[in-house]
Amino acid sequence: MDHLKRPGAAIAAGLVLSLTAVACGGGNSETPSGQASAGAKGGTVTVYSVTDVEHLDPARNFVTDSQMIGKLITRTLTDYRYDAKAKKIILEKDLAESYEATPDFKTWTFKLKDGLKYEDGTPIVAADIKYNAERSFAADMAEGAPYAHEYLDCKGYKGPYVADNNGGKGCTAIEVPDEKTIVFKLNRPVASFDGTASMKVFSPVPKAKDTKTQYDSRPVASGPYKIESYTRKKQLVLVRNTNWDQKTDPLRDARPDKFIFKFGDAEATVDQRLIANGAADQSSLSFTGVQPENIAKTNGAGVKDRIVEGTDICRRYIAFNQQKPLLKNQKLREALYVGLDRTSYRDGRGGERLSAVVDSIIPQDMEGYKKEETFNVPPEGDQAKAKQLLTEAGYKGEKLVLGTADSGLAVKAAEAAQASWKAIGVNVEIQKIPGDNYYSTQQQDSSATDLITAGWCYDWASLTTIVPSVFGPDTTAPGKAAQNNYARSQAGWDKMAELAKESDKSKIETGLSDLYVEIMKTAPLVPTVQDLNVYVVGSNLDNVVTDPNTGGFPDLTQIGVKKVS
Amino acid sequence: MTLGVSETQSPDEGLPTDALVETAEAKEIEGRSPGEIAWARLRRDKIAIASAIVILLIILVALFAPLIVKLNGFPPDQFNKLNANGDPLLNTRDGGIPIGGLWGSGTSSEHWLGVEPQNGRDVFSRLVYGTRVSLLVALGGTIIAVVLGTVIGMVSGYFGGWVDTLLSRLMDIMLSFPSLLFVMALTPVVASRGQDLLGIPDDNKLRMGVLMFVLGFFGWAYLARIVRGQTLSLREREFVEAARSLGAGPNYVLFRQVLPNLLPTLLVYTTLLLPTNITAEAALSFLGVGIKEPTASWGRMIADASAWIESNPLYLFFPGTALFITVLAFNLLGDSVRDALDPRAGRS
Repeated sequence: MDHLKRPGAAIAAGLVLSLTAVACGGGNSETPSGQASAGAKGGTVTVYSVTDVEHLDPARNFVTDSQMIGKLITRTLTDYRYDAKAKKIILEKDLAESYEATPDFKTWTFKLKDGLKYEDGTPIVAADIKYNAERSFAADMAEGAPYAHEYLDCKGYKGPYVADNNGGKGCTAIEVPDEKTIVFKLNRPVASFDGTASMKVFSPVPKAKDTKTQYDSRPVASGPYKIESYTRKKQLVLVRNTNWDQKTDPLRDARPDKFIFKFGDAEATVDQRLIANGAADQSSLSFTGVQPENIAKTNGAGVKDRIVEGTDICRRYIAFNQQKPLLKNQKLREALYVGLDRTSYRDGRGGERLSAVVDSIIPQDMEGYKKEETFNVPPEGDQAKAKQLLTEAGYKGEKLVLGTADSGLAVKAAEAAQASWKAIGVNVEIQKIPGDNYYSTQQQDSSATDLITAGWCYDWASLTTIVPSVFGPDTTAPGKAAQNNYARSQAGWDKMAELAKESDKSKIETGLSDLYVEIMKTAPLVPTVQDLNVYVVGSNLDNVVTDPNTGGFPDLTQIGVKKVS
Repeated sequence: MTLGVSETQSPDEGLPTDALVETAEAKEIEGRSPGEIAWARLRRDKIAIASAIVILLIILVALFAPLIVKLNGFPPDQFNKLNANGDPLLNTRDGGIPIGGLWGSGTSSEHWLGVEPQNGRDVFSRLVYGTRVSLLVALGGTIIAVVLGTVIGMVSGYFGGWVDTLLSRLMDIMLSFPSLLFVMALTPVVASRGQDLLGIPDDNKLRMGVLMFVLGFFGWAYLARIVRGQTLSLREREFVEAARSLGAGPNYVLFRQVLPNLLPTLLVYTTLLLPTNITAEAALSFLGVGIKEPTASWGRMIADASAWIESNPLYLFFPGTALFITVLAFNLLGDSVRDALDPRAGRS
């Protein structure tokens, strides 16, 4: 599966999203009274996932599926909780007892709670959070959320693994006056830094246990579960971390005793198992929604009441890589934009119940969203206009390579894009890249394809986590495209730099909203669809809700089993 | 003694037809070469004739694919959304399953074998174009295997000594090689490195070349063993000795005297190797190491369709049947050719 690149959930507290998520219906009536009460603990939940997650190391964990798993293992300063009843995403204090900011929003002080312990019983101290934030500066950890090195004033710092770097003082913009206090000195006003603090880069990592890139397979648990065993691409088993104290944690119900993640089973196999609801799978669910060929079956009796639907804040798009000489041609990019039949693309991703056409990478219900009016193309695309643009571009049948993750739906969607571009006369070839290193491949200039399918989920409900993230420069390597700037576009960089100095929140948001429209005039990418997820879950699972803030996945922090066998 | 094919004379046309009026058999025995006897037997074999006709049809379909597809007017890679009446072909609410037709396959007077779920591509057109890939790859692989197997087998059998030892061990190694695993590992590597190292773009020409090479490379050893055995016995024959004593070199003996006598074996083996390779190509496409999207191939169609078997069984039925009929026809023809060429075969 190609999960979208995005940092841990972050939406300003109290923001209401209109969601289609519903709690697993029919649950309580099936449970004989007395056998299990709501919120009962214990049991084992099995989660199927087609591919292994890319990273569990909190400094590198930045993709939705691994964020959901990471939420069980590691805690952050703050984090977002999805309240299914109120349909609200709420910012909670996780490790932090309290926090405060100076009036200019440039200095943030967090105080940790008492009694926080790692899985081995050693206390969690503020210096460990500083240490992990510093790790994210290292070149080896480049996959993670960029906010630590973006917002903190530690110019030239290269992370703790480079000896004598920055005079051995580390990142001096983070101060740890005592074991329970951590102070961040930012290079710009960030009014929503409490949301930023929910990023996994603000998780504690004990320096003594750090094994650099090896840490990825065995991060030390601060959350309710620790890793019992992890066989890459096969199975991850999480068991209860007895040193985690529920009283300190408002975010995680942590009801099951054990989570088993099984990687590698094909989508079709998993669908069959979950629809059948056999004895072994009554406490199972999948990270992959129901496949298109099985959607019709979800209307059947015995399945209908085990359906959980949800959406997310992520948007998919195809970026036109301007590193490639051919795609420096604005008219060609416009032709590709206008010529794409997004309804075919939607059908490739499973049709109307699994996908919906979008005209912007900014979610429709978000402040700053504007209807697309520059190209003003219908969802089916405009072939005549595209052909005309193609002629203006002087395109002569050169081949363009479209990169896609090698999984059923992604390939089907890529074929749809290929067919609709072929219809206007563009020669497109598909290159399939294994899902577990898809983004890593596309982030390398040397291995990136011409046309790049990608997706983005904002980090919190602010355009500062959409526009600069997808179009801006990389803050670690000035002059280089950011890790998620697959278009390698430089449009609007000067305006972005200006807005970064701004401290008025509404000016930033309107500025970025206008800037998005300006940048999109250069056609760096074409927005395609948003995912809608349909999950079939085992009949013994209780309180299954999807978390729109974490890729729309079933929320594992709230899930439980009805009957503990 | 059996005469070598090349040693036989042309049939004596001057023989009076009424000279041997008693039995037809007697006439044939008198006047026909073994090749002709085989041909006569083959012509009398109804299964052989039927198989040959089917194979001929399949080859014609492959050759004239563009013309045939023009009949229904749907290019194989074209996504179709609406039928002629402007009604949608696919139910995009239910995952893109075809609307109407037999068993939810979307068959209609426009789309004779229905349309693919999710994208509405015409199954008939894709099936027709898939024939090209299947036949071309299988044929290429078979030719490579037969040429390699014949040459290596003959050299090994004729020269003997250390050459024979070396080549025989090589055959053993090839026969015990886990070829399917090797192919699955090799194809993506060749595809991704071809561009960097050799400057060959990763397109369908390369993919088909790789498939042919791989099928040929792993298919020659079995034939080489048979050829080696036959060559061993042929080289001791009087006509070979006679040729050698008159000063003929190994090239002359191998290609003018041994090879013609191997032809029946090669013919049988080729007709049996072809269907094996067609299946192998389909298996490789099924496993995703075949040619690239969106080019149609039977194996890929079967792979795609297998997910939809419950809701749309005909989608799997058509490419499966095409593959089945093709392989069966080649196998039956191969059997018939073997029977016809083997004088000890039970059938007349």
